[in-house]
Amino acid sequence: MASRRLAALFATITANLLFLFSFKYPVLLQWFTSNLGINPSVLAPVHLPLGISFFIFQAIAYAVDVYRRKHAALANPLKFSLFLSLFPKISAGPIIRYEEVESSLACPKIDMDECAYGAKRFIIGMGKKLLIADTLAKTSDQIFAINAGELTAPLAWLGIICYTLQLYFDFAGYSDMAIGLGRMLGFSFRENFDYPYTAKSITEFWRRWHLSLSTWFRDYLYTPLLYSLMTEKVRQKIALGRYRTNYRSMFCIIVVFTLCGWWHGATWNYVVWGLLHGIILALESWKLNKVLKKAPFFLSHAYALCLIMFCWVFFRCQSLSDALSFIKAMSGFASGHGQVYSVPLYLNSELLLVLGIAILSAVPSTRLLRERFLRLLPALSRGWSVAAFEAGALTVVFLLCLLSVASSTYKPFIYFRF
Amino acid sequence: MSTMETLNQVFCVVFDDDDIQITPETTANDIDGWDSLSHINLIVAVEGKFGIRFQHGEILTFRNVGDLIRSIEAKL
Repeated sequence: MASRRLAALFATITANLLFLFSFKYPVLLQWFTSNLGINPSVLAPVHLPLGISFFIFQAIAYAVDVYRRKHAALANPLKFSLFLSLFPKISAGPIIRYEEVESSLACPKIDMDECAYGAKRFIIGMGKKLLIADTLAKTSDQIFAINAGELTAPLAWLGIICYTLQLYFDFAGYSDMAIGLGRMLGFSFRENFDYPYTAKSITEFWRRWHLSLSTWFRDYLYTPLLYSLMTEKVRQKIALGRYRTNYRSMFCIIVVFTLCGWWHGATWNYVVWGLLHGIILALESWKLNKVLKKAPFFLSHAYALCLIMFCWVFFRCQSLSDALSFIKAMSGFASGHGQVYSVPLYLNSELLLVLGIAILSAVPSTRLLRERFLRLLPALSRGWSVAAFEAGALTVVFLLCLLSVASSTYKPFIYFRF
Repeated sequence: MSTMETLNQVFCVVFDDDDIQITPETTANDIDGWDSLSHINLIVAVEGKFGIRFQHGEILTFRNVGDLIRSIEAKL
C-alpha cells in the first residue's frame, strides 16, 4: 500500500514537471522529441500558459501533502480546479497551500470588514505597481539599455538601485492586489513579502522575500533532499556532536537555490543568480551569521543590501556576459566617461520624488509613524481623523493610478513570465 | 531522565551551547542557529537519541518544543 502511494506521488510529480518543462524549456522538449524520432513542431507550444509555474507548484504541494496525510484528497474536481486556479493569484502567486483555503473553499464568507480591507490592499498594491515600480522602470530600463562599456560607476549604481526597488514594488504590488482581491472574495492568502530590504543577512532576506516560493522550496525540495542524504554514519556523528559543519545542508541549499535560479529562466544569468544566493546562504549558515550578528546594524545591513543588488544584476541582465559587463561598470572599471550618459540626465525631480517615497515605503515607516502619532495624540485614535486621513490618502493614490493607466503604455508585471 | 531533559541535552549538542534551557513554548526564534538549515540536524539527532523515526510530513509541522515532545512521546 505504502509503495503504491509513493508510486502514485512520483507519477503525479513527474507528470506535472514534464508539463512545466515542455512549456518553459522548449529546447528540452525538442531534444527529447528529436531523440524519440517525433517531429518537434507537433508538440512545440505556442504560448506560455498564464501562471503555469504557480499552478504546477501548487499541484505538487497538494499531491505531497495528500501523500504526507496532512489533509485528505479533494473528491470534487470542480473544487480542486477552483483551488488551483483562484483568479486573483493566478498569474504570479502567492503559491497557496490547500490547508490555507480549505475552509474558505468549502464555504466562502464575505463580510464588509474583509471587503474594505481587501479594497485597501488592492489600492495600495496598485499604487506600488503603477506609481512606484513603473516610474522606476523608466529609468532602470534606460540605464540597462546602455552599452555597459559606456556606463560610469554612479550611473550603473543608479540603474541597479532603481531596478532593486522596481522589482520589489512590482512584485509586492502584485501580491498586495492578489491578497486584496482574495479578501474581497472571502479567501485569505498568505503574505508574500515582509519588508525584505530591511534584512541584515541574505538568510533574513529569504525569510522576507517571496515567502510562498522560498517556503515551497524548503518544504518540498530542501527538506526531503537533505533528509534523504542523512546516512547512518552522519546520523551517528550528529548525535555525538561530532558533525559541527553540516556539509550536506550546505550542499543542499546550493542545489536548491541553483534550481530556483534555473526555474526563473533557462539562461546562465539566472542559474548564476541562484547559485550565488545558494553559496552565500551556505556560507552564512556555516560561520558568517555569527559574525553578522555581532556586527553593527548599519554594517550588516549594508552587507546584505550590496549583495542583494549585486545578485539582482544577474537577474536583470539578458545574459551572463551582459551581467558581468554591468558589474565591471559598477566597480568603476568600464571605459565610460559620463559625457554622453551622465547621472544628472536621469535624476529628474519625478525620479527623486518616487525614489524617496520608494525608500520610505520599503521600510515599515507608515506603521512606525502611525504608532508614534497615535501615542502623541491618543485622542485621535478614537475619532474619525485617522480613518478619514487614510481614506483620503487611498482616494488620492487610486485617482493617481487611474491617471497613470490612462496616460501610459502597458507594462506587464515582471513575474508574469515566470 | 525525562523526555524534556534528554531533549535539552540534544539541543545543547546540536546548537553547541551548554546554556540552552528549553521549555514546551520554546520556538526557533528563541535559539540561536535554529533555522531551516539546522532543523534537519536537530531532527536527526533527536531520532538517534530516542531511537525513533519521524514521518517526512511531521518534520515540518512542529511549531515549538512542546509539539516535538508530544511527537517523541507518542513514538516511545
